[in-house]
Parts: sequence; structure tokens; C-alpha cells
Amino acid sequence: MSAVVEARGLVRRLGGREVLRGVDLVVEEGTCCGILGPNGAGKTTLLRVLATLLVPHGGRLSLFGRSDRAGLGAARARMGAVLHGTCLVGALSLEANLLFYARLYGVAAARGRVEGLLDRMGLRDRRRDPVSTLSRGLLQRADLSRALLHDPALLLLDEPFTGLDAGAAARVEEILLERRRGGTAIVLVAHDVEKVLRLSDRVAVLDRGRIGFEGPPAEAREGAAALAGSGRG
Amino acid sequence: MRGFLAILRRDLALEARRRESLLSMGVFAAATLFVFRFAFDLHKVESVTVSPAVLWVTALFAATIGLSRSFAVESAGEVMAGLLLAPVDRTAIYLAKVLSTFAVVAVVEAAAFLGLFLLFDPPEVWDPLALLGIAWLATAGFLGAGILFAAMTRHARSGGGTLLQILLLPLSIPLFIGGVQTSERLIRGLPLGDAAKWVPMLAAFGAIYLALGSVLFERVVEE
Repeated sequence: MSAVVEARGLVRRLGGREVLRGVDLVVEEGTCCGILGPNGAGKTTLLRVLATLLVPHGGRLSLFGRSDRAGLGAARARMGAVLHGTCLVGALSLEANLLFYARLYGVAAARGRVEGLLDRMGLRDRRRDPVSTLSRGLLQRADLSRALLHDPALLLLDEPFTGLDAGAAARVEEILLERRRGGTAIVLVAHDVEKVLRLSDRVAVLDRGRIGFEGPPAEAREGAAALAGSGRG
Repeated sequence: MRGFLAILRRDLALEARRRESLLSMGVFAAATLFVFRFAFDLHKVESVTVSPAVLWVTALFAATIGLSRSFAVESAGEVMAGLLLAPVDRTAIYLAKVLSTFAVVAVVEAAAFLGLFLLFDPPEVWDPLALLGIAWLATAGFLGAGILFAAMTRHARSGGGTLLQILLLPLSIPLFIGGVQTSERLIRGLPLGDAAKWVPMLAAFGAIYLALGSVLFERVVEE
């Protein structure tokens, strides 16, 4: 398996504070790497650096084997991301939003793809509604549909289960497992430890901008507890 | 090209549906024209003397309102991040924003010219099409620089509009001097004469601002 994400010594400062302090992370195709950590540990910043939305101030980021500017730019075509807020425009209908992104990504047979995803996410009935009228949970499902539109080989997910009811969360879990089996590399940031442990092949616990623990899910709980016990978690 | 067309189409569709920029700029332009109309006694002041200044003050401030709204859609949630995540050249995003803002400002300017004609009753010999062409040429340059600064100031929680004006207005001075010089001749129904030199200068400033904006936009949106 080849590494889709390879981060070495990533450093990123925000407002003069060093939020990432030398993060190393490797995510291979067909695997899911869960990122756990307390508030302010740098999880979201790490995800935004991996998504090329933030430029690292130090270290090296390689996506799909390329770390040059053009290579990182090209990686965007193969990457889907769910961020903290929605990327959808509130005044447009859900369908119009997804068709807009399908055009941006050059998705072939866009309408069919959009309809398929809306069905899968249980959003077909709401497709003509303005996004601003959707509940938090529906918005989360809509945003995940947007991230999956172009069949990405890398998924970066920041709290994708926020606002979802049990049924929707199970459906999203099922989709993520299916994507992983299909070869998609996934980076999953979430506070729900059980979900992260269930979905991930490896778990990294971020602690004040550094990877404090990295290992298989079975050991992650102990690793996180040890960090918390040492007063660093 | 794909990204450029998609963003342009989305922005124009949103504006056609909501008309927020069009209404705010239009109301402002109408109010400005009325204030000037009642400020000047056209029995004592020749309308051709004040019309160019009235025209350009109206166009300048209406366009500034348009600029301040140019990233309104992207300021909500992570909409801007959604654009930046997509495999779309940053120059395409910049040019789509310039063109979608230009389309709305151009409509308001055309309406403002009509308002000027009705309220200030300048001589019938003027050339409205040439006048509009000059205005649009200057506007393209103004928006070329303006969209860059609007992107730069979009994160400012307060005072973003002020910062935009402080950055932009000094750069706009050559555009508006050229605009006033040429439009005065056209409103008087005279050949451009010496003022003709401003037309290629307006085009040159526009081209420089658009080229700089295309190159610098990526740096501005990169965090």
C-alpha cells in the first residue's frame, strides 16, 4: 500500500502561537487514521494543513507522493473534506449547491451522481430546499455528500458525526467503511472515541501540537489515558 | 475555465434571485444623484460643469458598495474554504469574482447615467455610449484592484470596509482623473482632443490592476 498522506515535522503557528509542533503522520490508501485529542490540541489545524487550506510553517507535507506546490494543488482533485462549518451556500437549494461543486470538480454525469448521493444520504425529499433551512444534522449529511461527489481517494473529516441522529450516524459509518474497503484513505478527527476506535486502523492522539501516541485502536485507549494521567492530555 | 464559469454562473444566479447588491448599489446611486441635484442650483451652475463629478462620485461609491459585497457569499460558514479545496485555479476564482461584480456594477452605472440625464439635463449633443464605455473601462480597473483588496479584508471582523477603502481609493485616483477628464468632454459634446490620451491610460491601468490581481490573489487567499 502506498502512502496517500505523509507529513513530517509539520509546524504551524496561528496568531503567534505554535499550534502544530512537529507532527509526523502517514496514512496509507485503504486505511483510516483517527485523530483524537482534547480541545485545543491542534486537530482541526492539522486537518486544514492536510487539506492544503493552511500552509505549514515548517516540516514537509506530501499528498499522493508529491510535496511540491503543483503536486499539492493537483491533490485537491482527489481529496474530499468535511470541515467544521458547511461549504454550502445557504441561499441555494441543496441540489444547486451539489451541482455547483460537481461542476467545479468536473464530475461526469453530475445530475445522476448528485441524485445517487442524495438518495444514499436520505436527502432526496429536501433537495429543492434552500440549504439555510436544513437542520444541523441534515446539513452535515449534505456536506458529506459534497465531499463524496467526485469519488475522492482521500477523505479528511472534521467531526463528521456532529448533529447526526443514531440512524444517520450508522449510515455515515457504513459509507466510510465502504469507502475504506474501496481504497480511500481517511483521516477522521472526532471527539467520539468509540466511533474513532471502531472506524480506524490506526489512531493518533494529538497533545498540545504533537503526536503523543500513535498505534492500533486496541492500544489507543490506554495511550490516551496515559497522556491524560501524565497531565498532558 | 470550468471553475471560472461555474463560479460566475453561481454568483450571477444568486444576484438575479436576491438582487441584494443591485438594490443596495442602486438605492445608493439614486440617493447620491438626488442629493447633488438639490445641492446645485442649475440656474446658477452649468449642468455640464458638475455632471462629470456627480457621475464619478456616484459610480465610485456604488462600485465600492459592490466590492464590499463581492465576498458576502463566501464569508458564511466555510464557503470560501469549499472553493479553495476544489481543483480550481485561484486566478479563475479571482476573474469570476471580478466579472460577476462588474456585471452588477455595470447595470447600476448604466441606470445612474440615465438618472443623471433625467436630473441634470445635460446638453443633447453628448455621446452616452462612449461615456458608458469609458465608465466601464475605469470600472474594470477599479474592480481589478478592488477584488484583490476585498479578498484581503474579508476576514476583518470589523472595519473591513474601511480598510478596503483605505487600500483601494489611492490606487483609483488615476482611473477617476481619467474618467472625469474624458467624460467632461463627452458631456459637453466635444471631441476628446487632449483628453483622448486618457483612454489608453485607463486601459493600461485596468490591464495592470487585473494582471496584478491575477498573480497576487493566490497569495492573498493562502493562509
